[in-house]
Amino acid sequence: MQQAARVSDYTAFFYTDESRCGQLVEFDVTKKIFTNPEDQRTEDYIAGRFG
Amino acid sequence: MATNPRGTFQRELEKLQDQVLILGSLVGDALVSSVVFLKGRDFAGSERLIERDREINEKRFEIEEQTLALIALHQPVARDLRTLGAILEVVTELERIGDYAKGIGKINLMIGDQPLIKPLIDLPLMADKASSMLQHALQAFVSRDLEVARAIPPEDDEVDGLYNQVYRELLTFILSEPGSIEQANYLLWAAHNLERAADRTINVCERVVFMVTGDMRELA
Repeated sequence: MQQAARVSDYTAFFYTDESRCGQLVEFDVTKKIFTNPEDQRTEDYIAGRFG
Repeated sequence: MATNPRGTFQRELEKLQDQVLILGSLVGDALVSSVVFLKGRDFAGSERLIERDREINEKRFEIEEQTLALIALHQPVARDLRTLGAILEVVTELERIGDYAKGIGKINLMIGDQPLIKPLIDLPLMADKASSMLQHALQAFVSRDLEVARAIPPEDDEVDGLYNQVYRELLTFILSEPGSIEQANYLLWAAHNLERAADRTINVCERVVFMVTGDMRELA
């Protein structure tokens, strides 16, 4: 994931739960996703709280 | 069983926050004591206070080192990274407030045996207010309480008002009694230190807001 942050301009976070696969949770410039994402699920994922 | 990296990070972060609170408590005590010793002309107290600033500085470096280690080992992002960035900033502010207290300790020693030109009433009020603002700011920091963090900066007006009062009063002393100029200057410097301590507390509040929201702006 750190490599993705280093090399990309944009980042998308896809999420899978019991009901649906591949939900697009958030898409934004990489800096925004890794510093202050809008969606709590994105924040929890990049911070290593799950996944 | 494998270690859970997230759990380790969380535990280390909580330990760091506890250390910040301990440092904050040392600094708050130093600030209030500095004026108590000045008012009571307690030179031994001021000497102890100056010596204890070393402990404050060491604690600050210790926290800074542990924070950098946590960044290097866990590569935190988003709010976790802002929190660690905030810790680095907050401990710098606390260390500086500790220096202001030490400065007041030195002022007490420099005034020496001379009797005070006026009873000290506003300086203890300034110290109590600045210390109370600091304790609330640190509580807001630990509990990520935006409401508390935003409510503290307006309280600085009270400290600024007291500073202006001390300034006017000391100016009157200087005009009526030119011999008092040296001590008046020392006391004004002590008031300035307390006023700056409250300003730095506002910087702590700004970091709380940044940590929680990602929004960096001045609160006062």
